[in-house]
Amino acid sequence: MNTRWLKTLTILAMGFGVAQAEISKQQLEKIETYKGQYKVLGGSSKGCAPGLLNIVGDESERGVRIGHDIFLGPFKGAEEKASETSCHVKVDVSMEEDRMVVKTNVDKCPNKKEKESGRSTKYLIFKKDKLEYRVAETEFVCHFGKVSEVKK
Amino acid sequence: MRIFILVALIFSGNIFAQDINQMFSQVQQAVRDAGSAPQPGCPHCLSDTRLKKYPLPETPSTFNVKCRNFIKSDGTFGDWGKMIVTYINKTEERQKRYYNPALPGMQSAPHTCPNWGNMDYNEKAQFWVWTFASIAHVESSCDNRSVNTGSVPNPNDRPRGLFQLNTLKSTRSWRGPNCKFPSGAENVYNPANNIHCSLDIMDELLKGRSGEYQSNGKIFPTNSYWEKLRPNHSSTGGKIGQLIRMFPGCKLQ
Repeated sequence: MNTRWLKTLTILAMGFGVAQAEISKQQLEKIETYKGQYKVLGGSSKGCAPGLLNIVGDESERGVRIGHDIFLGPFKGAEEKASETSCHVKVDVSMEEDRMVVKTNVDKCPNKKEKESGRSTKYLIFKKDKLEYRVAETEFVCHFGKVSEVKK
Repeated sequence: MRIFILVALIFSGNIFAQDINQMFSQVQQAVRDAGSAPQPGCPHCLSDTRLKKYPLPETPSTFNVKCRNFIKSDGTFGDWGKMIVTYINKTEERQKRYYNPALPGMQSAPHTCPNWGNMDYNEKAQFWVWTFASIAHVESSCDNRSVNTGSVPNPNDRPRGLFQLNTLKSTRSWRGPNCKFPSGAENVYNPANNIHCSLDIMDELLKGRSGEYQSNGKIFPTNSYWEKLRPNHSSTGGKIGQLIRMFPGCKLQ
């Protein structure tokens, strides 16, 4: 009896975990309202470039991009196993009140010289006609203002 | 009198018919002299030794010596150049985009290749290899193990390789079917992975408004993946544009 109860609890917990790691349809609809052309209002680096916010990619790669240098996704999260040429990569994506959060963890890397392992937490914070992109570990910040809606 | 006019008309008709026949045979001869219509694609791009060859300039300040993996000193394609031509000729749709006679920006502003309209498939294939060598020279000095060690948004995801692509699969896989190779420095340093993904990116750019980047369909200035080809960097493609314009086949005769 105890074992069955434990199994049920485990399955429920796993299900809850998966649901948390994905962007729901409702949350995606909210992100879609932010589609459009953005200009840079300020930031910590010249790496902040103006560009289009759009939803891109096929089902499993789907995510949001701003210009060419900023991508948050995939909405479903991702995981890659370590191999002879690549590290173990785990991407968790979630949506909090006003922000999208992408946590990426890279470990078990085969080539120690390349310094590939590490952790990053990216935030895309939605404000009225404005966006903030932030990487917690590097304090990389970009502030964007909406210029126009996305061209169909 | 009537009989005379009738005879004259018949006689002139014969002359007219002879003229038509003569003109028709002249047209046939002209068509034969002009050779056969161009074949779709570029079936002899990699094999025909009679084709014009355009080696890269040998001065290191122009193209790094490693760029000869695209085009060798004798003007034939290196391994990386062969990958580009093979990719373009793999599907008819790609050929239509890469060899498009009306490719925006070639003969119109910024006049990237004024002779584009007169170039055959072979020369256009060479143009594209030269173009990718130009981008790779500026992005990485044609060093397939190049890495951007500067300030980047995410240190786990540094741009690497010939065309400075993302290290992480999750941030580049949406760009095209050849951009889905696994994460990791070694995988991005692999020239085949880097070249094929970059060709996917260029292919999307050439689709113009209907492409993923909603670009203007030009190589530059456009909403390009490569920063130096964007309008806010230069209206004429900057250093990459300079190198592309050096392609000898682009000069009007």
